[in-house]
Amino acid sequence: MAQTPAIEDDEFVLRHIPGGSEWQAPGPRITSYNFRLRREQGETGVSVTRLRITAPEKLLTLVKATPESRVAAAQVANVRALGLRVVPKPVDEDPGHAEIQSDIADLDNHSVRKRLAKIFRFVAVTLSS
Amino acid sequence: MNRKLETDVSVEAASNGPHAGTGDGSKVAVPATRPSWLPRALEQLRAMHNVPENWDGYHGDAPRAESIEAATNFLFLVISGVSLPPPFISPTRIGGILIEWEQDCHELEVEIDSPDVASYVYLNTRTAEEASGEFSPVQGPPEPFLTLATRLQTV
Repeated sequence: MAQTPAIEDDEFVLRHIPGGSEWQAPGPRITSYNFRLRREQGETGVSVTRLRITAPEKLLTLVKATPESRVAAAQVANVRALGLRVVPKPVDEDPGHAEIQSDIADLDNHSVRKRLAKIFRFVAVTLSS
Repeated sequence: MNRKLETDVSVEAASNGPHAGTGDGSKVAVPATRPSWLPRALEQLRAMHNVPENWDGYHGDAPRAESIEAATNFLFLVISGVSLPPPFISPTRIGGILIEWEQDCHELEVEIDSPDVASYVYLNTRTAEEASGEFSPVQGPPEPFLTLATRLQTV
């Protein structure tokens, strides 16, 4: 199996931003809740996908997106500038899977998650039927 | 200090009542003057009961009933003292509720994890001023939070 290439600073990572017409409108919105870790379930980082390897359209199929779903992107250098780590974590269904992990900054800190949310931007992508 | 609002009107469970969806028939303090966005916010909070596991595609927990109730009560306590713009409300990934307000350069958000655990973050996007804190929702909004909330007042 080929070794997973390291993640470059100029890469972009993607994150599914869920939406629901009843419980979230007006939305969806990129905010700190998108980057909250489920520590009790053993999560070590926030799941993201490398744009260089996995297209946004593919990401939407992987997360079982709804019509309200959106995809947001951030440049890796900006994530690292916050004091967070971005590491490859390929899985069978998504070889582009990666994680944003705590490093100097701590994802358990609400302010850190808020700053992380601010560097993500929605990208144009359509959920194919 | 419990910040239960003695001067407010308490209402019984009703289809558009503040505690609809909490399912326990309890009374919730309601401010005399309701913001126009409140019914929609309460609908959203009620709808949280139907949000399933993995709602975010990343195995996020479904919102817990106790968190929804705590968020509803917290919302009423906040708006009883401050006139705020419509909030963005969402489940969090650990079964809690997020409430976020944005007005001009001011952003204020609260994550309510449980009736006892919550945190808030304020950000001024123009000056980069930031403030944050943790509190227990059953004690009501802490003074620093309310002070920050006045920066987003709509009237």
